[in-house]
This record gives sequence, structure tokens and C-alpha cells, in this order.
Amino acid sequence: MAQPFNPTHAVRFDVGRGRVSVDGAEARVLVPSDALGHLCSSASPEGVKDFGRRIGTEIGRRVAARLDGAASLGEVVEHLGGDLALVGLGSLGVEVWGRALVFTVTDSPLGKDGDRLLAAVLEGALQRALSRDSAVLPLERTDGKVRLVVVNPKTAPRVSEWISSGVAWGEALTRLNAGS
Amino acid sequence: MDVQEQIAKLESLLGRIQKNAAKPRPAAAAAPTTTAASVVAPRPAPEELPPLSHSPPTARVDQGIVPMARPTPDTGIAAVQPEASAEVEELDMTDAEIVEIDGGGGPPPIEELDLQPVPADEPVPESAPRAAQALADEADLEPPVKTPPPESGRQIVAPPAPAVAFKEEEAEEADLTGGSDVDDLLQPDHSGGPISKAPPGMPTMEQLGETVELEGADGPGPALELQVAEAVDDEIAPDELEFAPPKKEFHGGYDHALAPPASAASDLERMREADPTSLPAPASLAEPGSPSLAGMPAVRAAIAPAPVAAPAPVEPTVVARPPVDAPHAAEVVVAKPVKLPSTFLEILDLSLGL
Repeated sequence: MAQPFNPTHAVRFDVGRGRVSVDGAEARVLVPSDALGHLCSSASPEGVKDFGRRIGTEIGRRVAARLDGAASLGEVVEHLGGDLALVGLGSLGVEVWGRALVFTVTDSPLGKDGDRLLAAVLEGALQRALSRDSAVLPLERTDGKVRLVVVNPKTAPRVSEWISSGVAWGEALTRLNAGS
Repeated sequence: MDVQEQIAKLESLLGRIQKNAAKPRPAAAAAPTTTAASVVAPRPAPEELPPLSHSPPTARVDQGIVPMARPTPDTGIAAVQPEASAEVEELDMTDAEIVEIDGGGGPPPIEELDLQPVPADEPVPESAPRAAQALADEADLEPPVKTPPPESGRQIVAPPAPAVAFKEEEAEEADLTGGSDVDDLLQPDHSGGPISKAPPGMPTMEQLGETVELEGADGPGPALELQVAEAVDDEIAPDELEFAPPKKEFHGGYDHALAPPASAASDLERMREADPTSLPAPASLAEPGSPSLAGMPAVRAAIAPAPVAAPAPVEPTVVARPPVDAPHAAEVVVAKPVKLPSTFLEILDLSLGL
């Protein structure tokens, strides 16, 4: 059984050297969220996706160091959500709608412009932590809470079409569970 | 038992007594001699008459009583005082032969005989009645004017005299009833009876004390007067402006004796002339004594109800539902239990399988 998430001394500020690090890893840069959001909104989708996957790979690496493949849903949410909170991208949660796995991120500082970035971060984390290639697609956003569904990369274009065509996120989940 | 039978029994009893008296008597019993030095043997126990008819003996007569010996200082022999034993004839009689003779001044019955001698030294109580002989010594004493209270001590008691006793009773009655014969009350009490003698059922003088006469005591007793509630008039006098609603027995209608106004006939005739198609006047407006309009053929035809044809009975058309050959109409679909994955990786694989 995995140890509980303990963020004590996780973030280290070396003021003399002007260096910020998490768990002694590579140096981090503290930037304003609105600046990052503006950058994401102006960047290409592929660039945002690649940028987010790199952030998620670093998070997945730390989660994989503490969890194995037998980790429960609660443990994954605890550790993955803990590291996402250290980065400052919001509070992570999980919903299971039938067979569909849905991540929820609350109070993300990037807002709606950062949903694609969040999806890329989670894809990179799952790839690094659990060695699974997945596609995370934003379903809906309400009151600072964004729902992101985890699907097969082959199914992702169809779900994106449903969402862009105005299909409600509940109906999209129903169609996913029905296999249509 | 009449008088003749009583006389016959008395004569037979007298004869037997005389017969028993002529019989020879035993020497010891005939002449009991006693000396100062002799010791007299105790006499046999007194004989008792056997009870007859399972009744207690009515009398027992002792022939002699043996006194207690008292030692003398000279001889040391107990001296026996000569006994004044009375020779008593033993009566041979039974209970059935006991005759009660009712005499006004006769001896008391046997049960009331007191055979025990009264000691002379015993003091006589003050409240005991005294004999008439003792009254002679106190004759000079003036009797009290009024009946003294019981705590006044001994009073003069005279032998009963019929006339005096009658007066005494009269006086008591007069006193109790509030009579005014004061002279009778002032007479001395020579009756010999108790001071406060009251007839049975009446209070004694001690209980009465000083009686106060009340006015109207001789009159009839008080009578209870029942106060009868006066009949309340349910009907209240109506006011001048008050309208009396009809009673509950009133079921509506009008006064049959009400006559139409005098101008009703002329008005009706005028209306007929103005409108010939008008209906005849109603019966209520007709003059008294006119023939009833209901008897006219035209009116009867007008007011007669139109005949209504009775509806023919209609048979309803019954449409029955055909029988359904489906005994098991209900079907229950049991939901399959969903097995939740235990690990996050399994959940992720399921989601990636979509």
C-alpha cells in the first residue's frame, strides 16, 4: 500500500541562487497564470499539446515513483492530484460514468484557455506513470470546474466531433458507453 | 288454666303436705341435741330435688348448715355454736305442680325470693327506699314544695296510694304537658316510688330540667310548605314594531277566507276586452261562489299533462374482452451487478476501450 501523499519540503526556494525546484528535480519558473494562459491561447494546438505533455511527463514520473500498477483509484487521485496541485494547475478529481473515466479539475488558474493544456498534462502523466496511451478531451466547464474524459486515441476524433456539434456531455458519455 | 283447676291443684298439694307431716321423722333429724363438748358429726349433704323435665331445680332447702368450728382457749376443742336451724319441710312437688297465684299484694315469685339473711350491721344506702314504718318518725317533716333534684339526698317516700298515685301521674302529665294545676304539684309525695318517675317512653325530670313552655306548643306541628315555581309565561309581549314570524306549524299558503277585491271582476272583464287571447282568470281571482275553472273543458284540456310515451326497454350492447392466453404477464428484469474495478489501471483500461 502506497504511502500517503506528503508534500512537506516538496518545493524548495533557493533564494541565493534564484532557483525554485520540486523534490530536488529540475528548476521551475514561476510565471503569472494569465501570461501562461495568453500564451496557450495564442499558440498552436500541437504546441500546447506538446508543452502540456512535457509537464505531465514530469508529474507522472514522480507519481510512478510512489505508486505501482496496483494502485487504487483513490491513491492515484491523491498522488496525481497532489503533484498537479504543486504545479499550481488546480484540484484534481475523478468521476466514473459507466465505463468512462472522467477527470475533474477545479479552480484552474488558466481558465477555459488552459483546458487544452490541462488535458495534455494529464495525457503525459498517464503515459509516464501507467504506460498507457490515452486521449483526454474536455467535455464541459461549469463554475470553475472542467470535466475531461479519458478515451482511446482512436475514439477521440468522434467525441470531439460530438462536443463541437453541440452534443451534451451527458449524451456523449451515453454514446460512449453504448459503443456507438 | 282456669281458677277451678288451680284450686284443685292447691287442694291436692295441701293434702300431700298434711300426709307427709303425719309420717314419723328420724330421731337425729327430729331432735338434734347439741352440747358444748360434743362434736357433732357433719350431717349428710343436703338433698336436692331431682330435676324434672330437664329443668333446673326451682328451689333448694338446706336442712342444716354446719358452722365453722372456732377453737376455745379452755379445752382446745372446737366449740360449736348452737345452730338455729329451721326445720323445713321438704316439699314433694314437681315443676309441673308449681302454681302461680296472682294476688295484688301476694308474695313474690320463687325466683325473686332472697333466702340469704340480710346482715343487721350492713348500712342501708341513702337512696334505698324505706318502709312505711319509718315514715311515721319523719311525719313531722315538711315535704318539699317541689320535686328536689336527685342530689338533694333522701326524700320522703310514702306507700303507694291509689288516689295519690293517680294524682301524681296527673301532676306529671300536667307538668309535661304544660298544665296549670299548681295545687296538685304542691301536694306531698306519698307514693313511695322513686322521685323522678317517668312513664316509659317519656323523659325523666333530670333529663327535662326546667321546662320552658313555648308558644304554640299545643298547636299542630310545623308543616313544610313547598314553594311551587310560578309558571313562566313563554310568550313575551311583542313590541309594536315587531313582526311575529309564522309558527313552525305554518307550512305556507294564504288565507282561504281572503276575498278578492271588489274591483277584481271589473278589472278582469276589462282585460278580456282589451286582449281576447288572454287566458281566463285564475281561480283565486274568481268571485266567491263562481264555478271552478278547473271544471271547464277548455281549461281542463289546457292544464292536462301531455301524454308521454314510456320508453321501450333498451338492451345494452355488451362488448367483452376476449380471453388472453398469457398466464405470465409480468416479467422481472434483474439488473446485473456491476463489478467495480479495484485498481485505477483497470478503470483506465475500461475507459480506453471505449
